[in-house]
Amino acid sequence: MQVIVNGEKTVVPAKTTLQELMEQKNMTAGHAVAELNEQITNKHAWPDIFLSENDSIEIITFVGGGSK
Amino acid sequence: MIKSNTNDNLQINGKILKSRFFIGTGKFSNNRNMPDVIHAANASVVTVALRRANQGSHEENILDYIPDDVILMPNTSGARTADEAIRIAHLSKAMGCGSWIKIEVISDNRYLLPDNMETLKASETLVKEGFTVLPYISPDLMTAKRLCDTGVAAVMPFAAPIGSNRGLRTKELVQILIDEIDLPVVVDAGIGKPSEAAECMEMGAAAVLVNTAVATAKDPLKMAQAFSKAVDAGRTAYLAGIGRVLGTISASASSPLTGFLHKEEA
Repeated sequence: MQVIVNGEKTVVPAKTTLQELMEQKNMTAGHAVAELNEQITNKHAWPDIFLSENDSIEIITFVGGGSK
Repeated sequence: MIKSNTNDNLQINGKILKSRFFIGTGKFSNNRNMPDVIHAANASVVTVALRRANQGSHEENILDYIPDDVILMPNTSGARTADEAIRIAHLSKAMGCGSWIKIEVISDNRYLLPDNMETLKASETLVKEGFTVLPYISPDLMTAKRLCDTGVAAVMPFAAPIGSNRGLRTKELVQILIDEIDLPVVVDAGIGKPSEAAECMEMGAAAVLVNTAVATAKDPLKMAQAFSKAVDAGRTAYLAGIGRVLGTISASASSPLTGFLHKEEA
């Protein structure tokens, strides 16, 4: 099954959860948030969210910044 | 005994800040020194940005390097429209980092000048949603007044283009905002030297936000200290009331003109 993660095509097994994807991307620790098809997801719901073909996932974290 | 003003804390949206120095966290050569720099700055507010995660890498969490005793103010840098800024603000809130947000909407890639109209739109929405909104703007009085009407917590005019370290190029326009706006005016972007931060404070700015000038200094910790002292000095000078400036190039003696020690000529 193919999904789009931060703009890149990614192949994941069928019935992959968002939690599993985030673990695969080393994104479960710290402050990361995931949007699924432009909707912000609740971290606690990640284990119950099953990904579908062509889902778009954006994974966002904090970085150093002052202005652009 | 001369009494000094000991109750001069800046309040933003009811929050009492420990200092009038805000610091950004971009461009530092490494994150490990950041807590020391932030403490040396005695900074009250610290800005961070949001970006797509670098997948697969064990990237450091910048929040691990930000002390607990500061207010975290994510910015919406990267946003080119009001909608994008609102989206970033929502993501920031979802990450559990409070409700302060610096609205930054920029579509001009050369000078990185803010889009005041889109900033106004984003601010209106986010204030209604309960965010503490501090918009980064070109120093335009009418925009600032409209922002005040929306209920923003402060306005943040730039001193010079972002990251330029060119100093207070917008001085007269910033002074108009300070004089005409009832909310705190936080001068942001372009301040390159502590003396320029002091100048902003002498003019009556409520605070300054500095990033590049500290992060790119040879010794960021020492520069943070210098900025902190300059902000305090400028604020104290503002409270003291700047002495009069002569309208001509002639001088005005500050010592008495009588009773000289030399003998008067006959």
